[in-house]
Amino acid sequence: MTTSTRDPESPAVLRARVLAAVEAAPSPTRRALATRTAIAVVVVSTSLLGFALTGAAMRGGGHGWWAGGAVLMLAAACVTALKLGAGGRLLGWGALVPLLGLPLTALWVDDPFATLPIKTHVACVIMTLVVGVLGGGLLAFARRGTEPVAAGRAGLSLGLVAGAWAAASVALRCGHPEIDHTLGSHVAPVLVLCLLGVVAGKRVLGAGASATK
Amino acid sequence: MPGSAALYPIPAWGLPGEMPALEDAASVPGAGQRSRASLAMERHAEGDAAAFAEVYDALAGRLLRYLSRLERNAATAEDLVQQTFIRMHRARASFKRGADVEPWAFAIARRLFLDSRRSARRRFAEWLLPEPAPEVDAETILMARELGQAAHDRLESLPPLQREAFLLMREDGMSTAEAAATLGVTVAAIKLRAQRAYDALRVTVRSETGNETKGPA
Repeated sequence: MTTSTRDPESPAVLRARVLAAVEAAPSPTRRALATRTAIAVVVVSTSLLGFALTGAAMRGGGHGWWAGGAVLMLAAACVTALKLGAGGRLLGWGALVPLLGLPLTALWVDDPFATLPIKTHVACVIMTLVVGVLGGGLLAFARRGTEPVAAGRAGLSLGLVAGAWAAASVALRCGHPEIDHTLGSHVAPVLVLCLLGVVAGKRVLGAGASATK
Repeated sequence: MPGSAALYPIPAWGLPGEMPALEDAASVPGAGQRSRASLAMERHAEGDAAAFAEVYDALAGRLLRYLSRLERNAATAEDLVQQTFIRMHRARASFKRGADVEPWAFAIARRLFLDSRRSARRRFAEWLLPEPAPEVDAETILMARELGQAAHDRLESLPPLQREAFLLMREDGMSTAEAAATLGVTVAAIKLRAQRAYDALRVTVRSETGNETKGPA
């Protein structure tokens, strides 16, 4: 905003101007935002679940463990949806459950430090980033314009949640639970998604962004 | 200098010996009860479009005063007020149930001001320099200006959070809890920062007034 060169207005004129501008600016009510957010969370979480359960890993057996991972993801999605629907900030548990769950997979692996080809690492990094950007983008679009004070921080939380979901779903799909692969190819991209979340949050979640009814 | 106290431009908070102690949130009248503006914002968040006029009427004056002190240009301050209300409206769905609207509104206004200042790199407002009364003599005007300038310079040299804590609590009359919520820090932190700002200004004002009395006869 540049320095204005016009004269100050009378309080009545300013009031009329502001209220007219407010009336012309669309904004969702709490109910509308909660509905929009719930739809986005359901779409993202079911898509990720389907993505995770249709990979090569499922065909390799260990169905009980994969089902457990899927339950973890769903639980994280539900917590996130409840937090968002209540008007609160995107917070920790939705991201913490899948992120903590990933390193725990090493407990069930015979050789947790087995060497994997570099191609496998790169493929998982790219997949995690793409899935995270798509999921986080959809969530951010659903909540556009609703964080006027700390849009960057909200974007960071969004990036963390979307990154954690993406990491968990891609990890379940790829089926390589070795520790170095899990940390380097699934958890590390979450940090990149957090940074992307900060940038996107300022642009999309800040109330300067348009918000439709 | 007898009678000069009223002429100094800074004593919005009183002379050095009169600087008030920081109050607790619990000691603020009506603390714990939600304001009419907060209730109106609650209705607006649920979809009552007419309630926003109530929010405007309750907050516009305070926000304009706050922004006018930060932003020297009055018309720009009005634009910031307009942007503040538009953002409050756009983000009404994320207004927390049961929360007070005042810290939220001031936090939005502050964010807008910081964003505008960052882009324009304007100077901090010289709000501590009002015009002295016309009937006073030139020496008094000069001393008042010097004292005001010294206090202004000191205030501007403070860390941003100390300065803003002082402005919100002493100039906008916010409670420690409201100011803390506006700046996103704890109540203990806001008390500490405001107290440090008071101490720094007290030293400056005492130093300036002390120099006056020790000056040549």
